[in-house]
Amino acid sequence: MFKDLIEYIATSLVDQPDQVKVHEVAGEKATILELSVAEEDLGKIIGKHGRTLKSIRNILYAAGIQANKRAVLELIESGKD
Amino acid sequence: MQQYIEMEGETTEEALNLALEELGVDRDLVNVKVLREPTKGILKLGAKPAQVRVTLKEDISATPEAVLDEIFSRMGIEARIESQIIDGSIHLAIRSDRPGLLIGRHGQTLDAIEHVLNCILSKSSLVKRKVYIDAEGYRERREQMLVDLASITAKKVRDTEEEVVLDPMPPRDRRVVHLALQPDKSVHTYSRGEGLMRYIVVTPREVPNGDSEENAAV
Repeated sequence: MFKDLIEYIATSLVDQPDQVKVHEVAGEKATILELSVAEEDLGKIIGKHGRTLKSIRNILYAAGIQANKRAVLELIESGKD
Repeated sequence: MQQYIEMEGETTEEALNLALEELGVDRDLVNVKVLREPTKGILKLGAKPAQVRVTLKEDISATPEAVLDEIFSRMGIEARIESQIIDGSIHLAIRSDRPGLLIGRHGQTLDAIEHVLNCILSKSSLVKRKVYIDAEGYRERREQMLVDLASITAKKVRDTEEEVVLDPMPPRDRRVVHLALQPDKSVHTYSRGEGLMRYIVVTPREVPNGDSEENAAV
């Protein structure tokens, strides 16, 4: 569910939706979602002063309360692994 | 989900252009119905402007409601969305079983959803107007609360002739306070601090002609 949410938002924001990847890592206390997008699209996800990324995290947090689970979003900068 | 507006103009063409501008979309995204052809009348007597009804085509996949629906369903939230066009901007009223969750602390979640929604819409560029969202009348209540707070604070500043510092607020809330106190000639407002901790300071303002009596509170 969290994965679906992040995938939807990310693909809707970027120019290269086929480059969007969300990797879900189930942890004991929280689910970690690793999002990677095309390098040129990083700015679209982050937004001015990080506002968009912060907003996405906020939405994810609310979804977490609703599902009674915690989820954390990590933006992976591709080409750095 | 039918969204339409009715517009008048000297010619049907002018009425249509005004409507498109108001909706912020291109011609090919709407259906147009001429409600009234303009009538000339004699020497402007009995002259009536043209009137058209412009409806957004339903096959637009990225309407504000549709995008919001997609987000909510993935958040596991059931919500009903009503759309209204006010002064050319789109206002979406959300009714859900979890209003508190959607609003968040100081409306933070509402702001977050609104921001992401606008980013998505500006990308698909179908709707060029800003979209505002509200849940259970929260924005309106919050705004009234802030306007009240502003006038109480202004009175305190006038009475004590000392500056008063308000709690940190998001930009949108600060804007309401600034605007509420702008007409008040007895006080001056500005913001201090950075980011989440940015707050408003209300200070006494020098009155040049001493006719401060007419500064009725906002």
